[in-house]
Amino acid sequence: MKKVGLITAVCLLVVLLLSLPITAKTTIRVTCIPGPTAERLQAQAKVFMEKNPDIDVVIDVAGGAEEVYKPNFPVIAASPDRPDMAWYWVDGRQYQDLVAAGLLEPLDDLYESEGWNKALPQSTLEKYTSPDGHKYAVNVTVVWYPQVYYNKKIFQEAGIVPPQTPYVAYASNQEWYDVIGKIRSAGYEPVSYGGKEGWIIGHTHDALLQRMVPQELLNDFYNNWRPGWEPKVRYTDEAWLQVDRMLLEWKEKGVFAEGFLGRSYPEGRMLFVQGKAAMYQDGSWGVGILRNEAPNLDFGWMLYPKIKQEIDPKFLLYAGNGMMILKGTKHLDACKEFLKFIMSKEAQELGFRVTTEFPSRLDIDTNLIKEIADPLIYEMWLKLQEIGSSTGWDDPVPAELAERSFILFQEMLSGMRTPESVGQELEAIAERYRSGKK
Amino acid sequence: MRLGRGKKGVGYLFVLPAFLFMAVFIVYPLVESLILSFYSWTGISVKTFVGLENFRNLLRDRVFWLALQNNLVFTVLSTAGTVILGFFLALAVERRIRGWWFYKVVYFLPVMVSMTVVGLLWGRLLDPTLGPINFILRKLGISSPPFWLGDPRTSLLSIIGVTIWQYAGFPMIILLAAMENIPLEIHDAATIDGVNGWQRTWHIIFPLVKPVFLMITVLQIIFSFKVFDIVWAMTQGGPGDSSIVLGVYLYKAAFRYTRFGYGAAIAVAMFLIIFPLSLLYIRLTRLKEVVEE
Repeated sequence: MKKVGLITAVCLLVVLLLSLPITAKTTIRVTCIPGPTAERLQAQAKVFMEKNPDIDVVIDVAGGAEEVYKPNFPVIAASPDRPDMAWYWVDGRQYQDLVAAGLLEPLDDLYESEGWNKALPQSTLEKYTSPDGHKYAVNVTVVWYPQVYYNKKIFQEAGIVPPQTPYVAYASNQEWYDVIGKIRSAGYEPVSYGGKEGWIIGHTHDALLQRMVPQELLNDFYNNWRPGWEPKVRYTDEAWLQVDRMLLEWKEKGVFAEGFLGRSYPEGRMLFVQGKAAMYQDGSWGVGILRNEAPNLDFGWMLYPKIKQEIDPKFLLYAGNGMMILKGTKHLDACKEFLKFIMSKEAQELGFRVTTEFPSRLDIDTNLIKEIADPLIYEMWLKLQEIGSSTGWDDPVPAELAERSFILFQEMLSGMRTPESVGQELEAIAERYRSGKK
Repeated sequence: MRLGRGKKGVGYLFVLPAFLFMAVFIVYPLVESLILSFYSWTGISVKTFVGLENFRNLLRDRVFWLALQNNLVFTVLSTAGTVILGFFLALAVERRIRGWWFYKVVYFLPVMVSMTVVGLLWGRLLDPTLGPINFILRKLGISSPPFWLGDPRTSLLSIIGVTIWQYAGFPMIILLAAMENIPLEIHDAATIDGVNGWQRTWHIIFPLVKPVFLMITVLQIIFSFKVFDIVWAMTQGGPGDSSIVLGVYLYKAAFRYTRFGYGAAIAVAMFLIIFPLSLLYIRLTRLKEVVEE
């Protein structure tokens, strides 16, 4: 009996040893938001795994972007259950807390060895350099916002000619109001979007800010919350208040679809997709979403109008789509290999084919862009090179300041608050940050 | 009946899992929240002790007082709506009106649906342009129906209306059970005395179900005060802060503004308000048991 038991044990051991892989596979977990970002990463991961059969890449897609992933990821990143790598927004908000808490691996070596210091624009390199001089993430795609997509059929029906200016925007606010009036007379809603999600209103405000405030003062608004900063301009000054008043004036002139404050992001798009609204505000990523949801809709794009004659409209470029490696990962080498691949020309071109999110590298072949980009994205990209870009205000400022501004804009647009009291509240928050009492 | 030592030990053993569950999932988070309320913390950085500063800021915080006010409005109106409507629904079912079995099921069904699903569903129904509610109102001749969730004057009231619709079935079932426990002889005697429907309701049924009525009211108040899901699903506290409640403000403070210590202070404030109500509920249930004995 003992002999039988011993032989059985030995056989089992041999079978077990034979069933083990000769080399253990490394599995890296990557978290990201749903939509084009996940699609891009999944396509890139598939090609990467074909080239690296000893590495498994698992893409964990969150249930939602702004509502689920944004607030929860920092806490997950600090927990034992953190992933190896992550996509996250690199801006003045929660990302700064991640860096300050020491949760990310520095990537300076990759910036040097992979030539990212040359392949990425200087403004992006500055954005990704933390106060300690290191870079903890890399920009993988760029988007721009806000775009105004318009229904060509409704415009024709209402006798409206799309803007013909070099910056693809109506040349004045009055011209813009005339267009709004014609759309309403034709029985349609003008600009539809989901105002319940305040960040969209924030994007409109950012566009107005760029068109009404000189860049020097804009730069001060981006930074005047920093501890010890001597502000040149405050939120209670006319430079800011004029913008809030303009946003309110747009609402009063009927620019926005009725009831827009009660609609979510997809519900706001619903009106446009169903042909009840003539225009829809979204970012450049909206092209891909609209192509999916309304493949037969013939739509064009424009920028919001010129407001002040001395300031030309520009695109607002967002280079905050960042990939990062979490500190403490057991597979640092594998993560770096995947990151190198994601940032390679091959993977950037692949990602661009799969989604409409634009590659971050400057050295992607222009002919290739023309070949694979959606025609509207290509048009926008050419125009962006021509007229230039700026930065949205809610990008570099702290989470509380940006998030609070969205609520205040909603209150102002629903008549609960004046532009002056919006300025006062924002100034109080900025002052708290300036004095270090965060 | 006094238990012997051995049987007492077995008794404690049976209670132990529930006790551990409560300790881990209720007591520990409560204590941690209380401690956290004395700190400033972004959720991932080092915690900084700030003493009572979070509570001092809370007392000066306009949004906190607005959220508290909205909570009170929500609690009073939704409790009154659900309990009173639930009472009359129970009465209708108990009196066996035609189709009573159908109504019993239909009124209780929404209670079983998740609050978030209900919130999202009603968000679509109340869309000012595409929603069927305003479509019907326009057909009835109302040319400018309300914006419901998009208007600060109607956002909170819309949420309250939906909550009453969803939860009236719960008091209905509880009160129905209480009504059906009323001895038949009392109803027979009342019939002989020639009471009408209103007299029967006010002088017989209501006094006899009053203890249950009170209990269910207190329970609804407790449920209503800690509301979060339906507000979040329908408006996220907007437009602006017009429909914000303490649960939503707590979430925003912690997860949107990364002020976890401040969020914990809001949680402590909520606890201080709800706890006396819970004690009242326990006292009422004990009273009911004494009355029944």
